[in-house]
Amino acid sequence: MELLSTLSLGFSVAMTPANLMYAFVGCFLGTLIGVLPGLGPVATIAMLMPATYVLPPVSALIMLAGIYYGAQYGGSTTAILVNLPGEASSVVTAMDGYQMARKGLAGPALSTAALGSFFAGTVGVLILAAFSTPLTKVAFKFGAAEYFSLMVLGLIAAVVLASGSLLKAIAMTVLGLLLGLVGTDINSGIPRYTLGIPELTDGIGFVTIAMGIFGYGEIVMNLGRTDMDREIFTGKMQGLWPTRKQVREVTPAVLRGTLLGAALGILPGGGAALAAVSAYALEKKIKMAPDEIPFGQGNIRGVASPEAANNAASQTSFVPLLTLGIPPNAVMALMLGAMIIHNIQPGPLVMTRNPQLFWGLVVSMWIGNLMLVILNLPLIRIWIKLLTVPYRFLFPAIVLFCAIGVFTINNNTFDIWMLGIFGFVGYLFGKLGCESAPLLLGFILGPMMEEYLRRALLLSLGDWSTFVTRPISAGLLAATVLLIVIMLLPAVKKKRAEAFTEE
Amino acid sequence: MRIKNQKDFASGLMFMGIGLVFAVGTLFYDVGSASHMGPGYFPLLLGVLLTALGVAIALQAVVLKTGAGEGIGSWAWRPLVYILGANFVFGILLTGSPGLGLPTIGMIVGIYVLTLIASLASSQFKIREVLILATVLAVGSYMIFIVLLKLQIPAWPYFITG
Amino acid sequence: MHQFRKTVLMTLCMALVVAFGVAAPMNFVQAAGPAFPGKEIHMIVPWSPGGAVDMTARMIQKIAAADGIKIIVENVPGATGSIGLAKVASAPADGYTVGLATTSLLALIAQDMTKVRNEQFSYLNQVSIEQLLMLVPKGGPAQSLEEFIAYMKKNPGKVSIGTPGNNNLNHIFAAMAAKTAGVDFVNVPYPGASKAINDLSGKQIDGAVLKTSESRGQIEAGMVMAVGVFSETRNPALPNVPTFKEKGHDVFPYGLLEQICYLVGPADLPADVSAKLVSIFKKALAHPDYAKFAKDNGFTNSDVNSEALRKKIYSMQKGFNEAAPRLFKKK
Repeated sequence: MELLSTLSLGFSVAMTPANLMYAFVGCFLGTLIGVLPGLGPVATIAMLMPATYVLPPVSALIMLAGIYYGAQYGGSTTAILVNLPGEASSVVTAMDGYQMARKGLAGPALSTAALGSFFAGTVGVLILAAFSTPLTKVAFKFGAAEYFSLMVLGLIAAVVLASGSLLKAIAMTVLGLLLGLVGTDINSGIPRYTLGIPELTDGIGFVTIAMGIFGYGEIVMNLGRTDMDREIFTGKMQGLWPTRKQVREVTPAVLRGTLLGAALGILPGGGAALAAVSAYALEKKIKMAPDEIPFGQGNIRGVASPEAANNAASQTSFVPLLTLGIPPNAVMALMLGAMIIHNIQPGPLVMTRNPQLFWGLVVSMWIGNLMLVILNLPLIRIWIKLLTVPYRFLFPAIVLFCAIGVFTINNNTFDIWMLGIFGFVGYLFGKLGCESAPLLLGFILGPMMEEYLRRALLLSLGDWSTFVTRPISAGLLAATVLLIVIMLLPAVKKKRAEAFTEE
Repeated sequence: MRIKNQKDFASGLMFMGIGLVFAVGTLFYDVGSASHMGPGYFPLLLGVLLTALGVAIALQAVVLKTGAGEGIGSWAWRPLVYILGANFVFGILLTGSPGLGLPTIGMIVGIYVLTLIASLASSQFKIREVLILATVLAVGSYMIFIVLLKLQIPAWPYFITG
Repeated sequence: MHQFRKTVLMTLCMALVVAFGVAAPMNFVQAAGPAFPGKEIHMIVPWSPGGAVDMTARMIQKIAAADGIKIIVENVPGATGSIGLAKVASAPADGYTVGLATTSLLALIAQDMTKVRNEQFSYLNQVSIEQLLMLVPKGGPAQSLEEFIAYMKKNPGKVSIGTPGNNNLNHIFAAMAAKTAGVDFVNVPYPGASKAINDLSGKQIDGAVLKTSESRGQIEAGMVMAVGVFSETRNPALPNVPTFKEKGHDVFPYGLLEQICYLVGPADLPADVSAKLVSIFKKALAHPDYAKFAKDNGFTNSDVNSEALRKKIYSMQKGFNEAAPRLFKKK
């Protein structure tokens, strides 16, 4: 079978001692970067590229890929331990992950995230290897109208995420949408709400907002509580592994997350964030076991599913890369660039022209995933120990790393100012009881939604019916309506019950 | 009219205010029509929506008995000022500020100052501990960011690097 | 146990401090070269890492390194290149800071969307000329230039042409293509080339105007087709694609406009420093590795530098200044 031969070719390339070492170095560096809040793989890969010129191309790419994956794993770690989501998909992980950490369950949270991600990554690689070409044909059917409907579905899912007041969650999502619109409007080229500041013409950075609201906001909230309340991490630490019961709860969640993530990752521009949000929303709507912790307070399914989803999506996001030569995100664009420097022509023909490079890379990514699980599991013990460091030492470190991390994105101090401003905003939200996760999700999905809406209308020459006459788009919108109905049903029932009992 | 839920009421007001700002801001842009949206259309739509939501939330807080009726509580001014202050000062020290005539002082000094100011936010400030922490952070950051990752961050003051 | 851990921590700390003590001074020592360049040259790339300009910079960096010239690539993205270029313009004029500018700057200046001005720079070397292509999906309704123009004529105001970004050279050429058919078209801006090419391959749009380097892979894989090239001569990488000129269509009513990338330094560079920089880069650009890089990515270059480069930029700016108000909507 062709699958076996390509995979074995890949293994033969990836398993040489030299390449294994490069993979390890990459994973290690990546984890380090991922753990440090704010610091991102793009800046690092860019800086390390000259060092890779002397390496053979496959090895260079393997190392850079290791950095990419390592950063994702590391990012989940910080999201769970200190509530600092380093990238869009970790926002969802942070929600229940951090709550688990506060209850002394950091170990199981981290190990579940790692193992769930590994499983999802494996499935993702298999799908990638076996089904790339037919899957692209599906992806081609997605035009602007379909993407718009998908984004709407994602937004409703983001509202479902919230555990507090529904109205406030919707308002936060809308606020996130508005903040996402700051910057240059792609359809007209005009800067909006930038107040004449050049640094804002590309919008507010996601990392800046996330670090400010989640990072600084949380720190000030913590310091503001009296010493009595400030038990950051209470109770006994459970230790590394999830209990058998937890594993039983988590397995179906991981499966669901993997499937959802793999499907959404195929669409260029679909992305890991959307996958994570949808997976979490799906889990939340599934009937809960009687003794399960509610979502938002440390439910382990709420960690496992989004993590599996975003890792599966990261893998399958290589499908457009393979078949179309289109990089799914900035890091991949950089990797393609690295290939160019090494005199390899990226593009759809790399698969056939340079099979050992291509499959070696794919397999090494799976090996990278494996290495990261092996690397990270023992590290979890160290991270847990880190949590016992007195908070008065921990928080200045967090403040520092957020500031440096944000600076390295654009080499511009303006980002540090924005960080401070959003720190204040984050504290304000915390004080007023507004949840920040829907805001961040609105922030990510908003601009995309507008872009697709306007492009769909451009292409249909102003005809709104395009959203329902195109079959896939219509289907997605129907699913959205269904989701809204499911969401409102319990509220309606409750209101009715209240009305009856109050009489 | 007693406000039953302070948090929600304040949130409602906040949303109203922000929504209005964004909506009014669209006066500068071409709104266009529904089928041919200009840059101002979507923001106007969302701004109005946010304002409406803000009104709804504020009303609900006044009329219904939602939430535990807890107030907002006191504001943690001290930590806020110190944390944000540490952040801003770090930024200024890191690359200097041509507007204020301040040259680049660099990351190392910045870390010391940041740690000092930030630690003042904690009620358990001990100068010796803070200095040790700052040194550890400075050395660690230098090794990781500058030596290992080779990032372009100004580490030393201008009079050293020239 | 407690004592042991303390000792380990202390040792680690000492090791770190020692390492720091050794590494730190090394950052102070500057290679005291006899003449320029005595230390590293900072090349500012006003775009994110991974893009075409960034890759070009790194290629130059790689080639120059073999000659003993140390270049550090610094990415300062934002505002379609303005932020990075503003940084170059305000850098000290000692020759240790240079930057890469592209024609998109001229488009921005023409619409007054940036405070950066051409007079703020010294002109060094031209680095690349990218030819823009008129692309259509393979197997679509039009498979040659004449067919495409006829298709536009048959569907006035309905044909969609995608461009990466807005109000730039690609947009100008798309408008020119429509003008040759004498009809209106639907301009579909995209945030980047990747999304545009994706939609084109999926037949979501009828055409696109993209750089050769952005579409080469897809052309070779047979997903899209180039039907025309917007330049005076045919693209050596695509010898079978005719120019608009050959087919009798003038796409340069405002003068020759090319998508070029070029090296600049801050204004008022001393003449000898500037000359030295020009010769360093000229050597790197003439290297066979660079020629291969250019060929693989479908762009060309010619040796235009210093005064000749400045003249070229200024005359293109005039062309943009005329074209912009006529083609782009007023804000």
